Amino acid sequence: MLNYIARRLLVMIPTLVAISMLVFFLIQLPPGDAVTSRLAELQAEGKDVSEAQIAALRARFHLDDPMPMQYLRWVTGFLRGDLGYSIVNEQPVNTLVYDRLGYTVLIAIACVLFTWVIGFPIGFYSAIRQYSVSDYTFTIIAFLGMATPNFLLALALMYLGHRYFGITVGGLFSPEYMGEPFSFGKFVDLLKHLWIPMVVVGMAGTAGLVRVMRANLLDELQKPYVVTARAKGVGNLKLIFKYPVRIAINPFISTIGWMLPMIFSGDAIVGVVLNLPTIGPLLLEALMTQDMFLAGSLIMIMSTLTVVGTLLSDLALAALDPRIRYD
Amino acid sequence: MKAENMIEVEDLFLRFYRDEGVIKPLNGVSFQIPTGKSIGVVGESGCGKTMTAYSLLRILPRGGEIVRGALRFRRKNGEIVDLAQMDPDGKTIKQIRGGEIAMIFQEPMTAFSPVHTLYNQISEVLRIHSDMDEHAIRKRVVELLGQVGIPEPEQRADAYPFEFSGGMRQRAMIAMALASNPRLLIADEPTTALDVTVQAQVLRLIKEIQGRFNLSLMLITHDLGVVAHMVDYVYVMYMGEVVEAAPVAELFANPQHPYTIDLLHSIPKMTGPKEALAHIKGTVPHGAALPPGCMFHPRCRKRVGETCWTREPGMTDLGNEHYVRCFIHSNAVTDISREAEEITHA
Amino acid sequence: MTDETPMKHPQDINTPPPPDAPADPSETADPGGPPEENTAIFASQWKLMWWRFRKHKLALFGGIVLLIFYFVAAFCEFFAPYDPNARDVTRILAPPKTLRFVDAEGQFHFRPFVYGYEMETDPNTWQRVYTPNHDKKIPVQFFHRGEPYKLWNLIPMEHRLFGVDEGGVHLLGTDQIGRDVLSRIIFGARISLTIGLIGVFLTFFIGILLGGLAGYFGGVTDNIIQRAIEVLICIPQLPLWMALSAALPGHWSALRIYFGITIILSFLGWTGLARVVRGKFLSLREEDFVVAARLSGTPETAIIFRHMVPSFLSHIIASATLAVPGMILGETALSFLGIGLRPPVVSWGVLLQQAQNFQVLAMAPWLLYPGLFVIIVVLAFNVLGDGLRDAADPYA
Ligand SMILES: Nc1ncnc2c1ncn2[C@@H]1O[C@H](COP(=O)(O)OP(=O)(O)OP(=O)(O)O)[C@@H](O)[C@H]1O
Ligand SMILES: [Mg+2]
Repeated sequence: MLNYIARRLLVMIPTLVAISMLVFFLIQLPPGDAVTSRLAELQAEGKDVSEAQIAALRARFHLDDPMPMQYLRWVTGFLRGDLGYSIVNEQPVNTLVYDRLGYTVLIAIACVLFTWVIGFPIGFYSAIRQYSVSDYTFTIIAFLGMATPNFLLALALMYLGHRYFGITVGGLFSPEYMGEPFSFGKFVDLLKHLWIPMVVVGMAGTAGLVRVMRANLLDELQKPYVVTARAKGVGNLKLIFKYPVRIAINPFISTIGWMLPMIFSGDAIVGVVLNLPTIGPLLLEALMTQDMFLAGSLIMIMSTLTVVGTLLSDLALAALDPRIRYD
Repeated sequence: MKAENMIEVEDLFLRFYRDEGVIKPLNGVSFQIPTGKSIGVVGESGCGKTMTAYSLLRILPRGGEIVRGALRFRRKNGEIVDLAQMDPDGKTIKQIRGGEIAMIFQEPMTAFSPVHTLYNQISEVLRIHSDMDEHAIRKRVVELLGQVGIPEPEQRADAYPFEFSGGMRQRAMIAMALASNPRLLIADEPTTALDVTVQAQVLRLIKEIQGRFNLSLMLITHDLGVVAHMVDYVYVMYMGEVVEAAPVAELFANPQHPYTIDLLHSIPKMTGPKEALAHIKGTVPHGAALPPGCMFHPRCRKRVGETCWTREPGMTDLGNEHYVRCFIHSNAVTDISREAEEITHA
Repeated sequence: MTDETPMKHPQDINTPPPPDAPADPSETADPGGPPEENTAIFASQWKLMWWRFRKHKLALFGGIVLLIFYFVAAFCEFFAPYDPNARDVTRILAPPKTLRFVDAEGQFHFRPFVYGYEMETDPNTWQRVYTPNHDKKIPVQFFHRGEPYKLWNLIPMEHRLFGVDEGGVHLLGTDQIGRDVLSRIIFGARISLTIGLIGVFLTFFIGILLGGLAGYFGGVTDNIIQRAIEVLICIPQLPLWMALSAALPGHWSALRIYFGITIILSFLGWTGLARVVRGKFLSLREEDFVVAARLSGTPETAIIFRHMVPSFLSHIIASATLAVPGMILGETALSFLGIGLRPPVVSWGVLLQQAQNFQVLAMAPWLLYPGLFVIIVVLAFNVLGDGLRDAADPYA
């Protein structure tokens, strides 16, 4: 087991190096750089920027160094825990991330909980009542849920909230609590706002979970070992809970790898639409303004989380499935 | 029901009603197993052997319906019940499954849950069918594993199925079947998936256990060679019907049905089971469209004439407990037509 | 269970054709199957698949819906009542008009009509308020002759499926600069729907090529491709898409951007497929029929395309169908954010971008209609793909 983990950790290193190079390359791809963006912004505000100032800015961020140098500087900073400096925001990336991480994780965990609490029982129920009216109903809803882009659902909810309840949907707090210190009232206000991103982002995931859970369970229910258990006199409910559910869960464990980066960034587009103080919109903005350190570091963190998450889910799978342990 | 019989199956019809049509796996199967005796059920793949066994335990796949027939079973307490009439989710049938009728499956690879230990799965039988405490259960499982010849049963009990070889796994399966002292053991091709050398060992074990615990045994196989050493009486099935039934020695010495004769010709010498039946012309027709008349007539080499495909042969008693369903021996027409069931069911 | 007395042997059983072979007991049967067995099995595989698919009513329905959508998209110039860029400044953000057969007086009209609108500007909010004028019936004409246009930029035409002479027939309303939303959706379908198809085609080309190479040759090739896949799937998809599309030069023509986005969308999708194909190739490599073909000197390419690919083509078709929605949703998301396709190109994502502004959305919720079409198409692809997958492999 330890051996296995060590081997996996070793393989992670070249993967991460390759990812970092690719990410760095991607960030450099668009013509121009952050200074040009910042410049355009300043000029739009009517400020004049002198040649000397530009040169100073470029020098400060080493933008004229050769690419490999820039890459090395970024990567070594990354290793030291220094994510670089956001030129456009004029703040260290660490600060920007730190400010938003709490809410991002809060929303994401709410979504994951929502997905599981709703999706798991429905998928389960659909499978054991295959072809019943409720199965068909849930199936149709699940298909709809998977077909609806999150941001569209967000827009629709915003419109409905505005039109029929006269509330402004979006953000995490009402204006009166903005910038206030945390209090019980603010907490309640947060809960009032939190459910919308939770439902919006959780919707597609829930629908997917229902489908996967149903399919996996039906698959497992046909396996010979289930017949064996029936032949032993095991009751129907126990039959499902003891055996197939146990195995049908595996695919969910393998989604951890994909869940970690999602928890870190949140759904970027929904974040933009609902005006959420999460990391997703920050990343979007960084990409559009070519704020390379910000964008690069965020993507790099997410990629690392994917790699780590995949390892974690593999380990969890191994812990749960005796067959994998010895491979 | 005759006093010496453990189970009597009479005129069993099984249907799957599917979108694509009705599938007809069993078309009037009848047989009986006397207490403490063993019978063999032989026939090609798809002739309905497994479905017969599943019908007894009422563990048919989704959509399978017993549309006619009786499955009379003598319970431990002497009561005679008709398994065909039972609610497949009811309490009684659950007591019988595993408790009074136990089954050994074809594929020891897949018949165990891959993620639970053998101890977990074997002890489950005892948890359901007895009120032993944990300590007693542990003792019993280890004892059972020892009885079926698993070395170091105390340690091996906590292993996972994949840590066992095929033969060992089948032994464990036998141990599981024996756990709650059943009266009838159904072994559905218990050795098909095993190596030839291991096959003999496992068969010997089943035979020995049957004698030791005075079990009734229903051994399903498509290998007549296996049957010869294992059972007292043989039923030959074709397309969901018994076409010949005889004591084992009589059947080998004096086979009567053309199908049985073909089967005997094809006993594998060194060939695998796949080629075993190459001597019989053609393949089993699909269960949805039964041939009219004698169902074997399209492949039969001893057709007597038009009767074969216009009328349905009945069972003829040849004496010596030997029965055959063929016009060679009589003009007897089965008193129950296969078609009748469709008409009455609709 | 039936308790009725069993019927006696029916006399009317059809006589089967006479036995094809003499009933000679000494005859030994032909051991091998018929020589054409292999082709027969292969042909019937597709037939079986079609039979199984046909039973999937929902999937069949999805397929028909898609056919209609693609047909309309192909002839969108004809089906759209207006030019997608035609602006009517007198009708800005006009709400959808209902197609009616029965008028306000309860009278039935054989020819459908819409009511005209009266527009006034609210003196306080400066918002336009449209009220239907029940006295102004505008009959809708089919095969209406209107502004001349060119089908596919080639064939000059004048007729459109329907239209009105004057007054406007904006069944799904108009946008901020007075363009007909329905016409724009119909034109947008051409872009949004083809991007999915072309994207999937590219994805599958790359996926099968690389997966096939990895699985067929194994060794170093396999290793390199496997590592590349590992690296790619670790980078989150949306940021990668965004970074790539942000890199498309702003001065590119609409067509080039279109292809650029399509390529970007396919850039990530191939990994999953490549893995599947690789696995198939690995197992097929050892199969008897492949070994036999190789021993008999069949060229490798022929082995791949004549023997190996057909054996899992049905899976590929099903997966391809299920991959299209991802592409369509990807385009929609990118364009919605303003980094995918850009106006004047009309795609559903571009149309939805207008709804991003909440003030506009609050006034004109009909700007969300393109989203409805996205949902319908994605739904149709999903049910179709589901049916195809079940038909391709009922046991998996
Ligand atoms: N789940 C099912 N749904 C519909 N029909 C089935 C199902 N399972 C089996 N059948 C039908 O029942 C027939 C008999 O199957 P059965 O499994 O009893 O054959 P068998 O004699 O045990 O063959 P084998 O030697 O291959 O185990 C098959 O030909 C098939 O048509
Ligand atoms: Mg069987």
